[in-house]
Amino acid sequence: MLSFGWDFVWTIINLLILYLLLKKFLIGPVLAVMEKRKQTIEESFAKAAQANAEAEELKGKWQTAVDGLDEEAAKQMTQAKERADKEYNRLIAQANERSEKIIQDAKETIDNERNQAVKDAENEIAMLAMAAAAKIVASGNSEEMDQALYRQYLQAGGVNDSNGN
Amino acid sequence: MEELVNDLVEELNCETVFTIPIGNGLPVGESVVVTWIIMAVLVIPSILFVRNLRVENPGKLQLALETGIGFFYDFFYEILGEKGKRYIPYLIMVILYIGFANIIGIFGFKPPTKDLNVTVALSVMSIFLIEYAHIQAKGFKQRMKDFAEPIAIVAPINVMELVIRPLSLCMRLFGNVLGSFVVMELIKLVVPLIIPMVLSLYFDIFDGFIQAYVFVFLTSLFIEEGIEEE
Repeated sequence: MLSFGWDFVWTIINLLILYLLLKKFLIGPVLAVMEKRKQTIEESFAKAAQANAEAEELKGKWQTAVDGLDEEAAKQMTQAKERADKEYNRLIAQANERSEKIIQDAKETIDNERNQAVKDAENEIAMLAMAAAAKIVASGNSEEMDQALYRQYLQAGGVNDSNGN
Repeated sequence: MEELVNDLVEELNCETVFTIPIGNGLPVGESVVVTWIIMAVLVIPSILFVRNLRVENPGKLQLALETGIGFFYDFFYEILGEKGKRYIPYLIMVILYIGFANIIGIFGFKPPTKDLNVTVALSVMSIFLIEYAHIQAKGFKQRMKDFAEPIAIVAPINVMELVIRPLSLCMRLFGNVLGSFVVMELIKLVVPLIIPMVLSLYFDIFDGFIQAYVFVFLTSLFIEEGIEEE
C-alpha cells in the first residue's frame, strides 16, 4: 500500500504508452472524423448559401428579362398593328385609286366612243348631204324633188341633231 | 476483529506479482499488472472497432464513440479553450484510466488507484503537464515571474503549490478509493447480504467516477490557469 518504488516508474511508463495508444487508435481518429464532419457541414452550408444567392440573382435576372420580354412583345404588337393599319389603309387607298381610275378610264372610253360616233355620224351626214346635193344637181330642179330632198335632209339632220350634242 | 484487520491489510498491500531479472531484480506490483489489463481493455477494442470511421452515415458504434469522446472533448474544451485543446487527449486518457481503475474492483481485480504508486504517478504527470503548459504558453521567464502573482509576498506559497497541487490530487484520489474500500469491507462484515450491493453502487461506482472526474477537472483547471490570457 504505502511502499513507494518501482511501481511508480512502471505506472508512468504505462500511462505514457496508454496515452500514445489511445491517441492513435481511439481519440485521434474519432476527433479527426468529427472535425472533418464539422468542416464538411460548414462547407455544405456555405455552398448552399452560395447556391441560394446565385439562384436569387439568376431569378432577378430572369425576372428582368421576362419583364423586358413582355414590354418587347407589347411594343412589337403595337408596331405590328400600326404596320398592319398602315398597310390596310394603303391597300384601301390603292384600291380606291384604282377603281376611280378604272371608272375614269371607262368614262373616257365612253366619251371617246361617243365622240367617235358623233364624228362618224357627222361624216355620214355630210356625205349624205353631198350625195343629196349631187342627186339634186343631177335630177334638175323640180319643185317636188326639192321638197322631197329637203324633207329627207331634214329627217336625216333632225335625227342627227337629236343624237348629237 | 483481528481477522478483519488482517484481511484489510492483506487487501491493501500491493503484492509484487513478479520480478524482472535485471540487476537486483525489478519488482512489478499488482497495480501495474491490473493497469496492463485496463490498457488492454481500452486499447484492444479501440484497435478492433475504431476503424472505417465515416464522415457521412456513421454507424451506431461510431455514433456512440463520437458521443462519448465528444462529451469529454466538449467538457475539457469549455475549460481549456482553443489554446489548451492540445492537452485534451491526455485528459481524456486519464479520465478513462481512472474511471476504469476505480470500478475494476467489481470484476475482482484490486483497483490500481488503491496503490499509492499509481496515484502519485498520475499526479506527478499532472503537475508536469500543468507546468509544461504554463511555460509553453507564457515562456520560462514569465512562468518564473508568475510565482510572484498577484503580489510578491505570496511567492513562497506559489512555489509550495508545485508540491501541494499534486499531493492533494494524489491523496484525494487515493484516500477516496481506500476509504470507500474500507467502508465497504466494514459494511460487508456487518450486513453480508443485499445492503452491500446497494451501497456498492455509491462507494464503488459513483464515487469511482466522481473521483476520476474531480482529478481531471482539477488538472484541467490548473492548466487553464497557467495558459489563460491576462
